Amino acid sequence: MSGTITLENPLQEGSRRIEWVAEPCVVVIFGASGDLTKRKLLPALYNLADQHLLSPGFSVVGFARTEKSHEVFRDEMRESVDRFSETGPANKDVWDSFAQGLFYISADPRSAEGYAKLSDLLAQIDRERGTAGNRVFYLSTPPSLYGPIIAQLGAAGLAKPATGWTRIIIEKPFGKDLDTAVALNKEVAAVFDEEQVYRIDHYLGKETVQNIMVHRFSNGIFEPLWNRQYIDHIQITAAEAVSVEDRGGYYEEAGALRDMIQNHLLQVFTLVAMEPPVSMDSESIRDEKNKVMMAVRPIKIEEIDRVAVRGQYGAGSVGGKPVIAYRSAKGVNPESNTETYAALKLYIDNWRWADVPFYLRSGKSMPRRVSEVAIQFKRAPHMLFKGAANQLEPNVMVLRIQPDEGISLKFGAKQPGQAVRIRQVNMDFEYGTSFARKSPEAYERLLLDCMLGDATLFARRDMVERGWALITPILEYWKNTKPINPFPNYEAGTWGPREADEMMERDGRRWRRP
Amino acid sequence: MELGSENQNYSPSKVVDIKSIERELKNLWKQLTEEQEGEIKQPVTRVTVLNLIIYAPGETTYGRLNETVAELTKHHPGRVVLIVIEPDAAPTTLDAQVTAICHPTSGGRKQVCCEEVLVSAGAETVKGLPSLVDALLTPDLPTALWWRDLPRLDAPLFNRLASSSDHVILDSLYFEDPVKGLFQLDRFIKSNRHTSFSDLNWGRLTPWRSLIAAFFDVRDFNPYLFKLNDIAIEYGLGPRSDQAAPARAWLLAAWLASNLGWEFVAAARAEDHSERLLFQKGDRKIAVELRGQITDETRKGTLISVKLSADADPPAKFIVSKTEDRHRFETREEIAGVTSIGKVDRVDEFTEVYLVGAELELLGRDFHYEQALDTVAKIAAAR
Repeated sequence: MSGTITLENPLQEGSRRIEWVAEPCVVVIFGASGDLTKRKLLPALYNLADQHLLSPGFSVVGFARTEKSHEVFRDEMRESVDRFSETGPANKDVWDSFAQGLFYISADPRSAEGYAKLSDLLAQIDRERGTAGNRVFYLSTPPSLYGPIIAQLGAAGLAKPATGWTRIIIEKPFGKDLDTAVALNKEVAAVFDEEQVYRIDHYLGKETVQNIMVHRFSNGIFEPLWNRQYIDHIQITAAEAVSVEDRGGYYEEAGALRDMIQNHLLQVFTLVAMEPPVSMDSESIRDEKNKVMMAVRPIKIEEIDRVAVRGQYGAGSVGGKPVIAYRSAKGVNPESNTETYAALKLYIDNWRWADVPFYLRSGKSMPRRVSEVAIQFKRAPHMLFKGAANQLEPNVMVLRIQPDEGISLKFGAKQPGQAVRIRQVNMDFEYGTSFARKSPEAYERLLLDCMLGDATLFARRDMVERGWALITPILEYWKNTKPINPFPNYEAGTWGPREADEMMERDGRRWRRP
Repeated sequence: MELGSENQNYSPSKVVDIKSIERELKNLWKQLTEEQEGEIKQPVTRVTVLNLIIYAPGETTYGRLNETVAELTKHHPGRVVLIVIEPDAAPTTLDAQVTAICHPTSGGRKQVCCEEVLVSAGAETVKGLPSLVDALLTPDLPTALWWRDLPRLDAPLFNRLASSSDHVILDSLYFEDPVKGLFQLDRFIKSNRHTSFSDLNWGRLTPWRSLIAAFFDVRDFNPYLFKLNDIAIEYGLGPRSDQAAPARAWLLAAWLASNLGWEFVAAARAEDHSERLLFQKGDRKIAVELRGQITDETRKGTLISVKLSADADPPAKFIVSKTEDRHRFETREEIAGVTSIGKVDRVDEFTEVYLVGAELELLGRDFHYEQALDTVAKIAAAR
């Protein structure tokens, strides 16, 4: 995706070998004692440094309540990188250089005093490390702290300083429903301009998700088929094999519809359904994605039971290992009606997609972890091979997001022999076996894009609110009603509740086994 | 065949004509699936993303080359046609051997295999090689030629193989007279526009170019890019002081000039064998010096440091250097004589596999390389 580099640097222009280096800046991580910093953020930043993609003065300030010194923070982050970086333990020389830019502030994120300390430290870093007033504020805290932190940044004059640029990255969930999302957007807008705001959805950082656009718009053969004339329906699946484990307390407040469908799957859905953008700049792409959301048919209350399915796993086994029921997990109400599975049928009312159903589903404790987009084409209009009619299945193109990232196309081929016997075969492309280069980890890509000022892979305000506007009536309905069949309604290690199959069967279709 | 083991080569068979070679390749694929031990057969996937012709003269180099080919195919699976000219073989020698190179993937659940055809030729059968190679190439895939020898641009074999290829990979490291060699290469490339060219020596310059360019991605330093007036490129001479500046130094100087729009004015060789080049942009004169330093033999021909100075207010210097142990790059800026923050970067391991692999990723014309070559050619013509 194109960056929004504004400096003229002929030494970088047109070179396929040299990648853009981010301007020197400070990334301030609120909630730096948390898991995300250790597992994802610091390893990603270190890997960017190791790939020569960060400027010499690049710095990080960890901001959290826990008391510790700069040195202790550096040591802890070294351990995190050694443990969680996908490229293995840190190179000593690169780490020593990188660690000179790591700092820590222990403060209460709700208190103005911490922001005064932060302001002084940032000024010092600017002087000593040449970061020129460029900042990224990363909110890696519980959502309840987003509002107070944003307000304090505004009050301390850190949101729009006189020199340099400032951006803010906000982790999901961005609100719990439409009202809270709108309220949060207002709090953010009171302090930051929209072009400063980067709402992160790490699915968009995945190389294979980005490949959806390349696949559609760089190949002349697919786009003419990418419409209601040739496509019967599309299934988008994000299945997790893991159970809720020890995150019951968080998950009780979330559920599958909020946790996965409102953000990740709707983002993938818009990429699959969007019109070609007029250019590859971030706003053109995000405009097209937003137009998809504008065209999605709202779901009426009386339709919800027919087009939305919820499920909750009971005891079972996944991968041969026993799994306890969701209601028995730590932090979960034994009578919980939180859904660990959700499926949705959507229609897009525009010329391209009229009457083509999009089926979205996501669940925990499913047989395996898989995320994919399956485009099922219409059957051949006239069956020449009458004897083989029942052997023919429709063509399916599958964009596999994880694992075994790649693309496959299922089509029919004649088996050798006198009779016409047709067998389905797969034409397969896999990233892992076709390209030398390891795909960058999603957070590496997203953090660098933010530092480069490229918002293509981040969610825009309007898209977030439209996503919530679509989902919130379902959330409300589910909150106020009991499930059609009592929970749990699917066994751990199966592909979801019977109601989801029935939703498809009513349409004369069935779910793919991914 | 053991699953999960790397780089399994199968028994090669001797064949000499195309039909036989193709038949042997088909048999090889059958063999791969049938000879698996145990009841559960793992799927074998044939992957071809390109044709790779490797010209590697001399039997003595083949042993190491085998490992290089296996490593390359791990990341660039395809059909490899390996040409070996055996100087001691009978002049009418023409042998071909077919081998599969397999790599486990996906936690050992799959084997990804590609093909190697090793063609050995004697002095008299070399002429027939290009047509044999042409017939072996898999259709609809890009074809890269890796000329793993001193580039002989006027040799019929090279010309013929290059014309069958979409992309040619050479190495200007081996030019005996770097400037003359680059000049000839520039002319050759201009007269063969249907083929793109890579120079592994240019690939070795990537981190230098990257680190230099990165200075000027910084807002405060960007203006100095357009005020540079003095460039010093230091390279290792080895123990003797009369060695010519290596191709890499020339290419780096030419890259700066061509990307920044500097017009070449004059060149002179000093008594100490350093090269002094003068460029001009508007009213500004830019002096570029290629300066040798006595070093041990291992550092001969390598770049040691690049210093870029800008005559501005305040004056600035940007320096990229490699540490003595050659394991790190160090960069620093000096503004008004004060050194600001420096950075240490790891040096990537520039093995053949790494360099050739990097070129195979790019496959296609590198306009910046061609522009740099054009600048070197202008300098060569004026010297």
